Amino acid sequence: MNAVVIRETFRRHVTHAGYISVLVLIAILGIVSAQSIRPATFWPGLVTLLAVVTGCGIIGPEFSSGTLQLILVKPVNRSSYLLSRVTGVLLVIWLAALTGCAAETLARLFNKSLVLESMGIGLVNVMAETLLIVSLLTLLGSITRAYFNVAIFYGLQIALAVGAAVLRMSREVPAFVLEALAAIDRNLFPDVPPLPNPGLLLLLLSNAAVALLLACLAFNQREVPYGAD
Amino acid sequence: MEPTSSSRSQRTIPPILYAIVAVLLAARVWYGW
Repeated sequence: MNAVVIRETFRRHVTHAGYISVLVLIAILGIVSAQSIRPATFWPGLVTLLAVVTGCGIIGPEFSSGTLQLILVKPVNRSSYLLSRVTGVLLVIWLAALTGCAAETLARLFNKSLVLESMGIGLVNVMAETLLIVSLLTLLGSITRAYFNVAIFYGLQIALAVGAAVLRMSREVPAFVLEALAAIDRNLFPDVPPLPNPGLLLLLLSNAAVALLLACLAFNQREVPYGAD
Repeated sequence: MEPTSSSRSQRTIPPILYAIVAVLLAARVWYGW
C-alpha cells in the first residue's frame, strides 16, 4: 500500500464541498434515526449511496482523464496503487458511517433509548456492505473506462431483478435457473439489515476480497493509453 | 506491443491478497456458505 495515495485520496474527498454537505445530511439523518424504534434506520441508505458515488471514481475515470498515464510512469506497483485508492475511498465512506452512527448514538443517549450493541452491529454491517459496493465498482472500473462501471453496476442490479421476475412468470423455466439468478443477486447485491448475521458478514467480506483480487488481475493486464479521451 | 509505461515488476500482485481471499473463502465454506 502507498501512504501518499491513501492520504491524497482521503484529503481530496474530505475537502470536497459535496462530501461535507452529505456528511451534514448523514448526521441529521442519524439524529432523525434516533426517533425510530429500530436502530440504524435512515443514515445507512445514504452511506451506501455515498459508496456508489465515491466508489465509481476510483479507477475508471482515471483511464479517460489521462491521470493514470502520469501516475504509472512513476515506479508504483499497479495493485498497490489500486488498493491504496480503494483504502482512501473506504476511509472516507467509513468516516461518514461513523458520523451517522455517532449522531444517532448521541441522540439516543439524550432520548435514553440507546442500545449500544445494535448500534455497533448496524455500523459494522454498513461498513462491510460499502466495502463490497466499492470492491465491485473497482472491479468494473478496472475493465471499463469513465463511469461505465456505475452504469453496469445499476444495469446488472435491474437486469437481475427484472430477469428473475419475467422468468418466474414462465412455467417452462427450470428451477435451477431461478435459483442461480437469486444466488448471483444475493452475492452481488445483498440486503443488509442492521441485525447480527455472521454468515452475511462473511459473504460481504469474501465477495469483496474476490472482487478486489480480480480487479488487481484485470488492472495489471490493462493497457493504459496515452492522453485523454 | 508492451503496454505503455509501467514495467513488469510494477505488475505483480501481493501474495497477502491471495492469502486473504483463501482465508475468507475457507471461513465462508466452513460456516456453511
